[in-house]
Amino acid sequence: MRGAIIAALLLAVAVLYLTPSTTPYSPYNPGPNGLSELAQICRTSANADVVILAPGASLPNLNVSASTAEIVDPLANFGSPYIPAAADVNGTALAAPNATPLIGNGEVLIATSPTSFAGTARGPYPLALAVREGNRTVYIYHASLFTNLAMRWNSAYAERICARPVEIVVAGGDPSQWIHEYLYAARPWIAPAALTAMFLYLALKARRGRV
Amino acid sequence: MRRLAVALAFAAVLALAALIKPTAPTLTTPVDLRALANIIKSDPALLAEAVVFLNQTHLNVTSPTPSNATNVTSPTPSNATNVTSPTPSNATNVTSPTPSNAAPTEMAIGANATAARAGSHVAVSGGLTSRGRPVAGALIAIYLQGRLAALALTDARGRFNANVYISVYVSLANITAVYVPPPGSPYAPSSASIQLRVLFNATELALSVPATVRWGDPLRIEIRQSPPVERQVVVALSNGTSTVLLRAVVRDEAVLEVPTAGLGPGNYTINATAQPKGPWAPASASAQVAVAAAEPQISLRAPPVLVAGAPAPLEVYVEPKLAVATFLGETPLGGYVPLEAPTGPAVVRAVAQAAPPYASAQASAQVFVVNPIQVGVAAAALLVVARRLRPRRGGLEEVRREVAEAAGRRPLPEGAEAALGLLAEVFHVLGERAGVRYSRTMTYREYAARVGSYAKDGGCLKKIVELAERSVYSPHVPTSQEISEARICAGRL
Repeated sequence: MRGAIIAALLLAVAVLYLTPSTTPYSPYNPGPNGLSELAQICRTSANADVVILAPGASLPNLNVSASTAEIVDPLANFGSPYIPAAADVNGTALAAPNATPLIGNGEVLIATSPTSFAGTARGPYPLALAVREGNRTVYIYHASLFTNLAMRWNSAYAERICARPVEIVVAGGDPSQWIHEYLYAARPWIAPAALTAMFLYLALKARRGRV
Repeated sequence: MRRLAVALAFAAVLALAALIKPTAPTLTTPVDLRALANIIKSDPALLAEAVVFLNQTHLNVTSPTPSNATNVTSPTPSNATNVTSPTPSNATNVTSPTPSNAAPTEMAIGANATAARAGSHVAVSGGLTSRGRPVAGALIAIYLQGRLAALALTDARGRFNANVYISVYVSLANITAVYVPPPGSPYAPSSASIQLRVLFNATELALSVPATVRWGDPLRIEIRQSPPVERQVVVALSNGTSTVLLRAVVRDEAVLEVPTAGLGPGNYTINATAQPKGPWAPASASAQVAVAAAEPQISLRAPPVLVAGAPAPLEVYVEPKLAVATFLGETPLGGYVPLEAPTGPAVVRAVAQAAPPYASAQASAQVFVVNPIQVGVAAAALLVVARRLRPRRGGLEEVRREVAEAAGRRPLPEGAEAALGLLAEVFHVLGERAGVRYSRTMTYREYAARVGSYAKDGGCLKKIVELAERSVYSPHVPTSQEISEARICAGRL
């Protein structure tokens, strides 16, 4: 019975690992609202200087969060009011499907147009901030700029920011997302743990075989 | 039974996983897009801001009052490909979806002049009608040479007026008024153009820079302008990956001293652009310069084996003295090898940080990292396996010998030998479980009492011990049937 449970758990972990995540803005979500394309071209790392922040997530140490009030722009958009246009400091146009405002203090790097709205309040709203923390600058980008849907317009910009490692901060998650995150965090120990498990299994089997 | 248990457990785990939905927050969306569009259309200052934004981003105007847009809540709207983002070369390329039964519209446009000086304003007016009737409240985008110049709203008579700033420097400029109906509108798009002669003065810009400059030394850029016009010149230094922008107000000539310490070594392209000023047209010039750095000497000596968690005894030699950082792979080494470093071959790097006039340099060495925790865990597992698999001292043969010695060395009949052999096998199995080996110093009953708790069937053990005792200590010789029954009983132990 114990063997059956262990086999079922291992099979479930394998299935969840192979099942795509459905969490919005997850790097393991290949849907239009996922960040799987960005994760393929970027090197992800904890405590990176470039942070991709999903709606509802926050960075308490920098006092920056992403609101959940969706931005719409009836005038300056990419074919739908729900894909508002944004611009960086050089005037590069970027699509921000289902974007929400970033809340926090910092230098605004990307903002929506003056005709964008979150609720009934008018923009422009920041979608990227440069925030000083000690002697380093952290660049925080809204995840909507790099969803698989947005990448059809913003892929060149994504490649530019991926010159450095990025950290993706997502609020919540589904079991597939958790499994991927745990396995990613535990990746240095997976090989020794698997070896140990195999040895222990063989040892137990050998003992049982003698009885 | 086991397969059923596996299937049920697996189904239970998957059902549990399926029940857990993503806990990402739900976005709140404004529902009345028409009201928002009316806010935009009723605010001329906001429309002017929108023109600046759209010009800056080279975006085109899209549907201002999408009547059915509230249905678009999915992140993959079906009409997302109707993108009008890059400014079309011809502004009349209207891409808004139009119903096939839409009423045609007619656009009229005029200006208060046929020629105008660059830097001045021209009053543009016109009208939008459909089958002779005025179209009121329509948003008209006015383009000057393909760039959005103004947004205007038609009045009750279908008339619109706008002031267009002449910001192009071509002899003949197109002014185009475009009507892009919102999705679901009963009207079809239309546009109209007029041509305007633009009066302006051409200007020239020249740059003078050295071919090479040592990294850290100032870069001298000489700018000359003809004819002299006091205006801003933007100088951009770019090496393909980064750009530095400088601004200077120049009349006839100016000199810029650029510190190169903030630039990386490499080849740079210098582009200077004189901004347009009234009737004076923009001008530009470019030049190339190489920022050259000296190469420092660096060497690294590392022991062949590094231990995770222990100090990393690296010897780095750098000439001249520069700040040096050491890395194991991509992980910085703060004097110690990180405890999470995996066991295996790795590359240690010493990187001398760049400091003008010296460029960055690095040296590397191959090492083998040993992680004591990982090795310890694997070794412990190996030890357990080895202990389990090692042939035991005093195996079955020794137990047989001890059982026979306990019975005395006299010759025994064949049936008695078989009973003792069976007893030895049982004692060996139970001894392995209990970790206590049988010795001739114990009677069969004493040993059976000691290991009896490890037998699954105590009655069988008692039966086998009694059979062996009878065989040894009485004239009774076990029959082959008794031996067979005892062997079956031993199988249940």
